[in-house]
Amino acid sequence: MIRINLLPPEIIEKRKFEGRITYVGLAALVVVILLGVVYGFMVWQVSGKNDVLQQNKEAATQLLNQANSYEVFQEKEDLLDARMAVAAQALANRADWGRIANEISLILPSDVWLVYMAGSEEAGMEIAGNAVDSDADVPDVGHKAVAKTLVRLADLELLNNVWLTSSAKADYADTGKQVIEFTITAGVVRSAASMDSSANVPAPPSQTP
Amino acid sequence: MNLSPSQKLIIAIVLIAVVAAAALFLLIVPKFTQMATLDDQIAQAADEIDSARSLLSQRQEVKARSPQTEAQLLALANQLPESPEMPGLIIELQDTVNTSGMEFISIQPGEPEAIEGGYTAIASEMVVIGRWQDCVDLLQRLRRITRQIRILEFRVEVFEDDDPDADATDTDKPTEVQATIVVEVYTMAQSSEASATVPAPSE
Repeated sequence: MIRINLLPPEIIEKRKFEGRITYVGLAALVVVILLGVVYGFMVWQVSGKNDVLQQNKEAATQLLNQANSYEVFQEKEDLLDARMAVAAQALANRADWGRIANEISLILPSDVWLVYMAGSEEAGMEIAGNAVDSDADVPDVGHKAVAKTLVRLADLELLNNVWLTSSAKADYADTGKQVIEFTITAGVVRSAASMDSSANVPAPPSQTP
Repeated sequence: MNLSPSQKLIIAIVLIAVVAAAALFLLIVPKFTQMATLDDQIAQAADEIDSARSLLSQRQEVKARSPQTEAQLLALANQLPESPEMPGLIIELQDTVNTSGMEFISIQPGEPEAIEGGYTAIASEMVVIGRWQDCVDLLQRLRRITRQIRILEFRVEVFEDDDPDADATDTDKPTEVQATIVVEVYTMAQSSEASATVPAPSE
């Protein structure tokens, strides 16, 4: 059977166009809806992120305000640190003269006594003393007591560069007896501790003869 | 101008595509950019929160230590005061000399000298008389007094008593020594602010 369409071609074309334009319209609608959904989703996301950002900023401001309320304590501690630094600078490398004098007292041989002692942080120490010079000793002990003193002074950890300036026999104060008069110089080792309020324990006496 | 239906269709499709593309580029793509910017800002704000929290924690610790800090400041103010406080120094030196069993003969404070570093040094020469053992004791005690001092130099020599009434034949009397000690005390203030004088009492 042969089907014959008697409609003119323009009408057929118009009907096809009407059918296609409907699909195009539907597609356009879908695109518009899709774009709208995506746009709405993005707006919602942006809004959420804005809220988060605002909350974070408020939290940071709140924490900073709280931290700033404690600033006075920080300032006190900074002041303390600065003053401690000044104190450390002022009192750095003090010579411990008390310990030095005490240790010298402990290590002096029994036949030696001091008549003069001077100490200076810059110049070090100068010690003058006398040693017994007996008439009866044979052979003559002589300057050995001075040598013993030098050895013991050199053993002290707070003294260095111990040096004998002079050692000579001399009459002792119109008694008719003789003594050995000697003079010793030494450098001073300064302690590293800047502020020391604790008791100093003297070092044990040297065991050297 | 007469357009065929096919041409109208093509024009409609192109029009829809152009509108869709315009909507995409004008509305949606900027939102992505905005979100990326917001993400950066959120990360930055989170960093700010972290640093603020860290600062807060640090300052809370400082606050917890504040009683010790105050005590240390007070102790430091006694060791290195802000003014010379010579009366307090003299009293403490006198007490120390007395405890050592020596006699405090004299003290001669020098001029305050500003030292680079924000403090002032005052050198004072003091003379004491007593036995050698007491002198050693004094040197040890001077290092332990509250007011921090530095012994710049000292000189100890046998003390010759010029008193004509003194019994020269008294051999039991222990040998006395005279010690001249130069001590340096410090203040936190500069010399222009320092004053050794005690303020007059207000009426």
